Amino acid sequence: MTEDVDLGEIERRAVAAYHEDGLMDVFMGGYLLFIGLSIFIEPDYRPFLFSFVPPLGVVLYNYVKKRVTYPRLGYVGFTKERRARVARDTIVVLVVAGLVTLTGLFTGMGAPESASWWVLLLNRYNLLFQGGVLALIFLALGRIMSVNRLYWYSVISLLVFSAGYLYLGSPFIVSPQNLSVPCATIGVMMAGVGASHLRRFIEKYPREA
Amino acid sequence: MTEPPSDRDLPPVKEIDRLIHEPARLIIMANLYVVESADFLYLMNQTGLTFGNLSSHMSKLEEAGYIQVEKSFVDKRPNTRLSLTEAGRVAFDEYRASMKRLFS
Repeated sequence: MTEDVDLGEIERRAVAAYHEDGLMDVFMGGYLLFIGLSIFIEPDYRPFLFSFVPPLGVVLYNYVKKRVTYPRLGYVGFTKERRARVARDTIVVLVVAGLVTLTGLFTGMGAPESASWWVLLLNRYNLLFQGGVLALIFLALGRIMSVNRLYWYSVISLLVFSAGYLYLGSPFIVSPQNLSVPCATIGVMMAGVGASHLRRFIEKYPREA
Repeated sequence: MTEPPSDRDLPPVKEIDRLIHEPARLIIMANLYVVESADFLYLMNQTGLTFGNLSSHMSKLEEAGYIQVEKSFVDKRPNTRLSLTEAGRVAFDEYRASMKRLFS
């Protein structure tokens, strides 16, 4: 018997079990796909959609979690301290990342030659910049939530946006719509990984009759 | 022939809470320590204990005042939710400290 119980490892296993259902991937992937399609289609009511969809997604996520996960895995409520820390850090990351992304979007739309060097740089390498921001978001969320899969999405984001830069984002065809293809691609990949996790989860934990 | 050591010869051993020291109860306590509350099904999945085993250990820990058991209905199904009491949290901290002392 070891002299101490590894509580950190037990907590990590609890968090991993909680996210084993892949629902987080499905919802995050779905939202990225939605962003990609919204940028591509450019509907007039886009700002409304962007503000309306995230809270709706959270409500739907909690509902599906209650219907699918808890009856199979069982219920676990994390400590108030952990919940508060995760919520606070996630909001900080998303707000900072949102501001950086908006800066990137504006500079990506076009920059006069007289603009500052950093604006020209962001304009020239816009897709790489956006991919880097998304990769950092996944890295930070992976660290905050202790979910290792998010680190892989960070790597995938960098790869997909780099490929997007090579094929779409050359300085001759800079367009904010170019952002839609990598976003939608990562969204579909994440939703696919999530669906595969969900299928395995349902097989592993059949619902009791 | 020498006598086997008794509890009196090994003072730190006496400090160890034998109720928690049992492996199944130790893993139940450790799992509850890192969360606010968890239900019976979750603990069964995380600990690998059978229904009967978990139920029996749960009763012992509840009798000792280490865990709180709340029974309710969720979607018309019976649900048993467990959480560590303050006494359970303190006992678990003391158990860990005494184990550290024993091996140091």
